[in-house]
Amino acid sequence: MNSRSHIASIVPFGAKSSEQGGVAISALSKHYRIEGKSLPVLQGVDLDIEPGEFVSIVGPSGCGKSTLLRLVLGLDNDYSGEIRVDGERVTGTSLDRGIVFQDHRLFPWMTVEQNVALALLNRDLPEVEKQRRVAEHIALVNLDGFEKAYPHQLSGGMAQRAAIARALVNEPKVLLLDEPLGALDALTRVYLQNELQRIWLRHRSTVILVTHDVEEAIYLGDRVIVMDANPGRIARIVPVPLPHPRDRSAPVLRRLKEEILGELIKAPVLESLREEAPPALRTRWVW
Amino acid sequence: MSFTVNSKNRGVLPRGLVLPALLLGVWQYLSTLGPGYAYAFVPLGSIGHSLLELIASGELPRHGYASVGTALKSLCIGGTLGILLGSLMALSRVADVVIGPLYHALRQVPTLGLIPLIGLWFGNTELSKIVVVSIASFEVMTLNTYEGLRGVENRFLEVGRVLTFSRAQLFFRVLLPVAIPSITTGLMHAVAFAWLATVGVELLFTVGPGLSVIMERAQLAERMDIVIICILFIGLLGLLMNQVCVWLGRRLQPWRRTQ
Repeated sequence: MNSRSHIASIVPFGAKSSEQGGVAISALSKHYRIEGKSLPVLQGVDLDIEPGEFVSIVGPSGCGKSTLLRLVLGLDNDYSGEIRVDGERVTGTSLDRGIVFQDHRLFPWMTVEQNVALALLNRDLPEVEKQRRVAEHIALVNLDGFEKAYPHQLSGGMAQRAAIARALVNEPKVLLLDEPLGALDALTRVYLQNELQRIWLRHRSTVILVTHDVEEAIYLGDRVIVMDANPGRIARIVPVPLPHPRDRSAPVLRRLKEEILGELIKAPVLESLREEAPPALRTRWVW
Repeated sequence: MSFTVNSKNRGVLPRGLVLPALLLGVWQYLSTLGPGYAYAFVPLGSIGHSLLELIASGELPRHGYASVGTALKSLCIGGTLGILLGSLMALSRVADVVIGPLYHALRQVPTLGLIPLIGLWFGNTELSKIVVVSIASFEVMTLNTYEGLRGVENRFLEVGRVLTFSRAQLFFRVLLPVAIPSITTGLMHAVAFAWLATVGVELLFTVGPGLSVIMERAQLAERMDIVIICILFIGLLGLLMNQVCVWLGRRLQPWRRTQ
C-alpha cells in the first residue's frame, strides 16, 4: 500500500514542496564495546521514509530509538550500513536536518529571539531575511511577545516551543524529535501535540518522532514503527490510515493503540499466563 | 553580596551596626583604664587624629595608591596568563596531559613561600613584588578558567554541532559563555589572593611605597594607632575591589539579573 495515499491531498497554501527529505536506512547496525564485550544497540534496521511523511517510533527502553535518531542526524558516525537522505549519504550534521531534544537545550545566556536566530548563524542569508524568518517562526509557535525573554523565565512548554522554532527556522528537510514532550505535564503535552500537527501540516518536512507515548505516536504519525530491544530492531510497522488533521477520539486510533500496546507489553511471564487462561479470557484481554 | 533595603529588612542595617558600635564602646572604655591599656587600645580620638594627619600629609593616599597599583598590575598579568593557560589545558587534551601534572604540583607550594627564591632572582625590587603577586593570581585564574570550560555540558555542545558550528564558533558561542560565571568567580578569588599577596610581599620586600610599609614603620615606632588605620584601609580597599568584581560579574551575565 502506498503509504502516502491517505495523506491529505490538499496542499496548504505556502507549504513547500515535499518532494525532498526522503530517508533511506538500510542494514543499519551499531554496537558499543563495554569491557571487551560487544553490545548491539541496533541491528539490521531497514526503513524507507517518504518525503513529507510523519513517522513515529515507539519501543521499550534500550531499543536504540534515540540512537537511531542521532545517527540519522549525523551526530554519530560510527555505524555500519547506510543512511541516505535524498540519495546522499549522511556523513555529519547538516542544516537540512534539525532536532528537538527532550530537554529544550536553549542557551540560558540568550533570549528566545537570539536562540532561534542562532540556528541561522551558518546560513548565507541577508540579515533582514534572517530577522523575518525568526519572527515568523516565533509567531508560528505562538511565542510572540516573548522574543526578549530568557529561557529561565519561560515555562517548560514555552521553552520547548522555542526549541521547536529553533529547529524549524532553517526549514529542514528532515525534522527529528527525540521524546520532545516527555518532560512536560499531560495538559501541555496534548496542547503541543496539536501544535506539532498544525506546524507540520504547514511545513511538510519529513518528521521522525521518537516517543514513549503510544497514543501520541498514533495520533501524529502516518506510520508507527514498533521497535524491540536486545538487539534494537524493528519489530513491526503499523500504518495509520487516517487523513490529517485528525480527531483524537476516532475509534480506529483506539484499536491501533491496543494493538501496539499488545505488541510492546509482550513478556514471557504474561505469555505463559495467557496459555493457561480459559479460552474466553484469552482473546478478550491484551496479554 | 548585594543588599537592597526594602520594607522587610529596613531594620537590619541599624541592627547590624549595634555590635560594632558596642565593640568600639568597649575599646574606648579600655583605653581609659591606664597607660598600659592606652598603648594597646588606642583611644578612638587619637586614631581619628592620626588618620587626618596621614591623609593630609599625603602619606596614606600615596602608599595606598602604590599597593593597589601593585595588586592591579599583577592581576592583569597573572589573570591574563591564567585565562590563557586554563583555556589551553581545557581545550587541548595534549596540553592537559603534558602540563597538568606539573601545574598541579607547583600549585601546592604556597605563593608566599616562593618569596626567598624570587628575591634571589630579581632582587629586592618592585619587579619581585609584581612577580610574586602575579603568580598568586595566575594560579587561581588558571584553575577557575579550566574548571569553567571543562564543566560545559555536552548537551549544549551537541546543539552547536547540530547547527554545524565550526570549532571557533563552538568556543566563542558555547564554551565561553558557559564558562563566564566560573571565570568571574575566579577573578574574585584572584583579587582576594592578589591583595593578600600584596600585603605579604610589602612586608617582606622592604622596597617601595605600600600600606604594609607604613604599617611596619609604625610598628617599629610603636604607633599602634597608625597600625590600626592601615589594617582598616587594607580591609576597605580589599572590600572595594571585591565589590567591583561582583559588579563586573553581574554585568557580564545579564540573564541572571532578571532572577
